[in-house]
Amino acid sequence: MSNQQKLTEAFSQGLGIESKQVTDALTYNTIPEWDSTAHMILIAELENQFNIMLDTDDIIDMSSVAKAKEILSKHDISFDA
Amino acid sequence: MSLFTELAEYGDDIAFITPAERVSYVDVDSRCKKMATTLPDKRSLILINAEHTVDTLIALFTSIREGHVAMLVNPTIANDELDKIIEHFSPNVMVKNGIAVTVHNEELVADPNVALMLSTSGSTGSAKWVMLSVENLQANAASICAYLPIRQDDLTLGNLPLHYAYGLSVITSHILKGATVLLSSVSVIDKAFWQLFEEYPITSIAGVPYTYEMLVRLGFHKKNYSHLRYFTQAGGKLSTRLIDTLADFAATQSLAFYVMYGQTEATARMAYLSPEKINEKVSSIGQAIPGGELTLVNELNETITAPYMHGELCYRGQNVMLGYAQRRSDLAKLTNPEWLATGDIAYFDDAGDFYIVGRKKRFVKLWGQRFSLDAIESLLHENGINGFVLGVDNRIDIMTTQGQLDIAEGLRLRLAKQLGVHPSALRVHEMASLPMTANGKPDYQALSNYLTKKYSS
Repeated sequence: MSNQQKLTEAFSQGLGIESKQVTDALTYNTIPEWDSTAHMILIAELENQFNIMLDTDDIIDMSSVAKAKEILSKHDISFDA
Repeated sequence: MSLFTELAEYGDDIAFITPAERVSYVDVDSRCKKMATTLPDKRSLILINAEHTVDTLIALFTSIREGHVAMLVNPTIANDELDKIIEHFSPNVMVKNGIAVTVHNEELVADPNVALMLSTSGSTGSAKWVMLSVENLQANAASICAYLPIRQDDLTLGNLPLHYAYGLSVITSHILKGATVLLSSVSVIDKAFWQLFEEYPITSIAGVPYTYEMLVRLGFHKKNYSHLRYFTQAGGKLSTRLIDTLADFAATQSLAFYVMYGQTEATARMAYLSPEKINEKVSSIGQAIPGGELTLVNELNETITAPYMHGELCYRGQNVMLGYAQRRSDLAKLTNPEWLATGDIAYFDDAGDFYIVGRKKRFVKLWGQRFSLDAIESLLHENGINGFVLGVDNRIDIMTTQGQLDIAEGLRLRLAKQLGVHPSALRVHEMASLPMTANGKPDYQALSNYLTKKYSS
């Protein structure tokens, strides 16, 4: 699976939404599915998919799919393809 | 001192802080007097949309001071549910954003003791309206002040919903002492939440299991809080792993950690564990609060006097509700139970500390909300699925027969939406057949054994 696929999978599982809804523009609290509960499950999904540990600031700052990519890239995960 | 009528005695001390304002006790009193002029003269039922604001509390205090009956309603309630409440209770006045709108003037016929109605934290057919008196609120606040180290110069974080018994008890216990409440509804995953600890000298916090799960996940226990003295937890069972983590945090920073037990039916609080026992008795709810009494009753309705025997936990005290109400006319007839049967099964140890082991009825708690498993089962049948529902806290298991599992994923997402929970809480299991008891009822014991085996493998 590519990193993009992993990311989509994590968001789709974490938020309980369809893969096609996962776009860079998708933002926290703009769809009913992405609330604070789902956010924590999303974090766990991302950590599982990419085998990383996210810290407090990462978790709080992860307010959109685009922002998630930016944060993950700090953990040497690239989305260039 | 009397909770709602004598607030002005604390003078210019600050009662509430919000991002927008600082409101002194004298201000609260004068705002209540002003609000009173907007309410009807006749005794009325006042439905308050419980936004997380000072205005909500002013409306509540005013209703109680003027002898009306207040109803605190979840501000995020779905419209159809609100319509049902209005249909059943026909409130005289609706308060939204602090503004009272009189709907009708028919005098409320209610027992003189009824002052407040709170909903139990349920959904899916399990929510009930609980009637409380001023004496209930006063007694419970006084008991809480007798065991929690609340001081007049304290600043507590009031972040739990105001329509929720635990959230409201944080308010009442602090105003009884003339302390200050920082009203904030920002989520712990919001940066603003963490800034509160830098901007304000917060001395105590209160949370439900889910609050602490998130706080620990976010590393709350790894930071230093120079003003924090103690923190409390209620609203369900915290995992022993989290209790250990939080107990370590408390020990390292010389904080007191209070695990507490309560129900809306008891205004809020019934029991607490002495903080010094937290390491030794991680899963205990401790003993009755000052002024209260806990006992256990077996299936023959006999009182259990020996330790380690299971029975239904019952509570007696001045904070026990006046009764349940399902419609407006119920406010005139109180049941006034002396002993409150909690529906929780418990035992006590040699030292008299109580432990909850399960529930008498089929309920689970997900993210602090109570769900009736039987109601979910009905919902399943409404969706055309033959199956049974089981659950433990944080998880609902749906057991269905062969041939239907191909639609399991769709079912999971659909049910989650209908229940308003995250789909990760629902698990669908395929079984060759659904076990039944000899008299044709679902064999939940057999299903439970099946699940225990499945989850442990």
